[in-house]
Amino acid sequence: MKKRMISILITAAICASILAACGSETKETTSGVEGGPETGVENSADEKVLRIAFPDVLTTVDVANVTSATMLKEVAGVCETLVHADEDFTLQPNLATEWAMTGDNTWEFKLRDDVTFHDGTHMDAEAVKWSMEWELKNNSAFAGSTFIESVEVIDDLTVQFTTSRKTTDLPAALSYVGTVVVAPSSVDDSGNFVKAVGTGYFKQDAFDEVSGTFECSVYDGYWQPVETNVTRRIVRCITDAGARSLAVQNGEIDIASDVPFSDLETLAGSENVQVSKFNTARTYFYEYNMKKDIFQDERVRKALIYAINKEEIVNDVLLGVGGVPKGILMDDMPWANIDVDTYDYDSDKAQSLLEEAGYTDSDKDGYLDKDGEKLTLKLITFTKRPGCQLILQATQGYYANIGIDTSVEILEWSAMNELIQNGDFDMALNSAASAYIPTPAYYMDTYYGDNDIGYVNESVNVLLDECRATTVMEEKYQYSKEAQALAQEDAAIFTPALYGAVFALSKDVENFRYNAAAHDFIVPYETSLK
Amino acid sequence: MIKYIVKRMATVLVVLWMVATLTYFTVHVTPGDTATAILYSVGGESAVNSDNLERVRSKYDLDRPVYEQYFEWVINAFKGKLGTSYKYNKPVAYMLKLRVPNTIRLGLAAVVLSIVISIPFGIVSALHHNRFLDHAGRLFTLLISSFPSFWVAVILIIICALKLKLLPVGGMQGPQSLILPAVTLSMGMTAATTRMMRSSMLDVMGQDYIWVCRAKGLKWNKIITRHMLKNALPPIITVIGLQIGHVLGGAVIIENIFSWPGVGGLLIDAINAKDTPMIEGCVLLIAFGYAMIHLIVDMIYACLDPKLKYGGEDA
Amino acid sequence: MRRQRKKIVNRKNYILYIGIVLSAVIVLVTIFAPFLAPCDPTKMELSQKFIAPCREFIFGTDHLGRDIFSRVIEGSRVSLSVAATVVFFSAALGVSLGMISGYMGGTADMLIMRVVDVLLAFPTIIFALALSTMMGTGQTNLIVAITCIQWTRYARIARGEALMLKHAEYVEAARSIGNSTVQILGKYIFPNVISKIIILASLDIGTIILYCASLSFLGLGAQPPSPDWGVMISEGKDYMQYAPWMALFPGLAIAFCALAFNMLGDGLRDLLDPRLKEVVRTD
Repeated sequence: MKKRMISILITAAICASILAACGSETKETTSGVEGGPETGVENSADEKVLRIAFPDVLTTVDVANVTSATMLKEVAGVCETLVHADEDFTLQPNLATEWAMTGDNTWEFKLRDDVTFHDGTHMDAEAVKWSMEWELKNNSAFAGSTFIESVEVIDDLTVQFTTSRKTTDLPAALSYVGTVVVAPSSVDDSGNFVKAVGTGYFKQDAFDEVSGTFECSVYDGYWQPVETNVTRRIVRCITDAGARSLAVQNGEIDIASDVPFSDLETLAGSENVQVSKFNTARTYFYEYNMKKDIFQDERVRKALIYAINKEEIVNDVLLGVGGVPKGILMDDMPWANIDVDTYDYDSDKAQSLLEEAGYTDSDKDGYLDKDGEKLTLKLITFTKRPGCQLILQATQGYYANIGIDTSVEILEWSAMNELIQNGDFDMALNSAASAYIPTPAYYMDTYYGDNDIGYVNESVNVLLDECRATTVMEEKYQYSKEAQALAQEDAAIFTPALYGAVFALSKDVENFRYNAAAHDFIVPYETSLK
Repeated sequence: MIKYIVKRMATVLVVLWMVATLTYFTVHVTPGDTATAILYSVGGESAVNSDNLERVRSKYDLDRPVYEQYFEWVINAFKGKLGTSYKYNKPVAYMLKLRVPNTIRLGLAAVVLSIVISIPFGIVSALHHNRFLDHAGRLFTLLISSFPSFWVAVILIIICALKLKLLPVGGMQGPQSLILPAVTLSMGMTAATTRMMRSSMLDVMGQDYIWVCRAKGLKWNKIITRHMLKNALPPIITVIGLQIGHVLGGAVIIENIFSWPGVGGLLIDAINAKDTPMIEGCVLLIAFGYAMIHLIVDMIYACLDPKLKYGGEDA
Repeated sequence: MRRQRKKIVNRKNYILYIGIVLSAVIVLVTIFAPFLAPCDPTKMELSQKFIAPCREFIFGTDHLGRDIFSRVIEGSRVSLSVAATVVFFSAALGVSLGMISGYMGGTADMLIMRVVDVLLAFPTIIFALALSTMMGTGQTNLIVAITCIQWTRYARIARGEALMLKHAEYVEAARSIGNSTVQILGKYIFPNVISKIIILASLDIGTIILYCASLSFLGLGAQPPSPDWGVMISEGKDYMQYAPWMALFPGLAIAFCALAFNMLGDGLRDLLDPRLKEVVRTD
């Protein structure tokens, strides 16, 4: 009996301590969201709150984290970069007024003198240097994307960047979200990034680390006039596309990006939601495994493009969310060459090209074969972008129509990448941002210059080198266009569709413009509410 | 008793170590390069280039042999250091501490909900044995354990949030956000506990001492509360304990559907980013929670049923 | 009360009858799927996408214009073959290891039971999640992943039974006339385990169908364009408002299957082993 009593006591104690632990932590965490989404909305009559859904998980406001920097710069409007990329992909001065290349590996940037951080301090060369060094140290993707090696202060309003290699694209790189400028007071004494003290029109009010909800309100000392009636922005993390759409329909959110494709039609006549489709600077692209004999034959590569009905893919498979490519890149880009052959759908031509290359249905089993071997292609893609799986399945259908047997595999991105590197595939459907750093060389460089599929064309590489070397924009465009034409002629990589995104906005949202040059999506300062 | 607890805790440690080891090597043989996965999760496909890859590999020492990384991790884990998340650049323990209360809150809500429903349901079913209410109850439990929870979740969102506009579609904004996830999460457990309660009651009802009570002229209500429930409840506790473990597992899926900021979302996110320290942290935490619940259940059971030897057979 | 007590023993086992009929229907559908499906389940017809259920397409069509009825029918093959394979291998592995563990005792028992403990320390779905990420997606990997955990349940039951029967008189007798361990396990212990295993197996089929669907839903099981029910729901989720039938029918199919096998298992338990009660059902 005594033993039993002891055990009951111990059990009770354990249960109690666990419950106590939960209880105390509950209090701690909820206190952080005080004045959260609900209370914020109806706080006072003259508050206009814009609620935006962010499609990723936020766990920090540290600008060295690309996700959080994207949110801070593009969605919340709290932080800014030295250079700004406009909707037509041209570079505009922002926190920097002018810049020049001063040596092979050095650049000088002049800063605006009327900019203050949200803590009231002056935005000067020291602060820029501090920000870049923080990002260089803590952002794993920083150095390899911008090639910045070090930053020196020349005078109060002049900074000098030293790059690890000769690059003429540093100004474009300094529009990248990872290079936002923040005040050193963002970091506390023990070296933790606790608050984003930026230069934007909005200043950080609260951030809940658990749910990722971010709140900001108007900063009175902003350096240029802004016309909007929004006084507060609340950013909520909703990773699921369907959930984002529902949140807008439910009136919980005002702006949601990348909602399901079908919303374009479902919500078209809706009373409280407006939907629109935008083409982004991202593309879907197929890569052939050039290390395999079959793809050494240009006729096979082209036949496989002719077999795909790109218009049908965009209109019926992607439900209109996307664009039919006129070349390799999105045609709104000033450096896009739209004067190239896009191998438009022609299944007869596809079949005759394959026949020329020796692929016929000699054993009458409904599938093409060559030298007694059935033509079977392994198509791979990745999970993150829903459009990829759709295009892949459609491709499978088109190839079945002309007698090509296919197997498909849908993997996590890094796993797909591994298959590509190991050459264990025939065609890979990938998707990438072509203006991550908005320069004519960037996309070409990443996808043709240094690829894992075994495609080499020296003339393309020479043109790309020229494109990278020159500082004259017109020449850059020209070299890039020529390189695009050559690469498209080789057809080692082709674009079946341009990537589109559907936005769902509440009916009250006004003055929202889409900027394809953004890393994710920009909510302009001017966005207002009725 | 103390000796028993110590012995059990030692077993728990061994089990945790094996779990951790299994997970560690599992993650390492997963297709996909770790540095690539980290960079992709940090900055998208554009961040993946040879310069960045090299930097990430040296920053996290990924080029060392797996066993070396593993030993270092184990030694640190024993010291209570779970390391730093590759993706978030924050201590794993800190991230878990932020998220765990939410998972506990959701889990507790689901468990309480299903106990509140299942125990009365089970009793009523047993008392109406083979009559309409019993059949209806049995069909009900069979039904709710047959529908996939993620499917029910999607349907519930459409009906309750979108059509009726009663509840938010997801996220964590006040107590009303808890309702849908807790209801979906509790389904499986409610079914199992109701069934167990019913059969446990039936078992007791057939015992001779109930007849003795009847014969003594005790009131029926009193027999139910004093004698039947007291004897029917102990087996229920085991089932509840086991079910809590399953609730933990189910929470992974449900948290994802409802964007509930708990450990489940963290785990799925970490698996995609091959964020080994984070995966380890989440799995260890879940395994630890699971083991502790089992331990507590066994102890309560032992207290309620002195006949049972510690560590005896189940079923 | 007297009336009640009598009924416990004699009542009609409706649940079992319904369970048998429903399971039989499902098995027949699975076997004759190719003849029952009106269309090719993977054939795309973009001009026929998103057709609501009508006479021609009774479950409607999906985003690529495929007939959902044909896909659901064909999907029964995917789901059931995975579930049956998992149950078969889990039972085979679990029963043999469990019997060895219970009968031999000692080191073998300790080793096997430690492994069981470790596996039980994981919630099933998380373990399957971890394993299928490790081995990549796909059906075979899914089967291996779920089998790895599922066998422990069979092992525990077989072990308990073997432990109990080890010192039964007839087993002692069999031993004394020189039967080998394998013979004793096979001839004298296995027959006593079999009824419990059958009950557990039929209940398990429903459970495994649900697990597979969850994993496919998370993108870890079967791959599109395979007509797997979990994949279909996950594809249909994004069109929930536009074409709700895309996720509705596969969900109902899963529920129907799980229900049928749950009823079968429940009924069998009442019939074969009323004492076993709910303990085997702790999923």
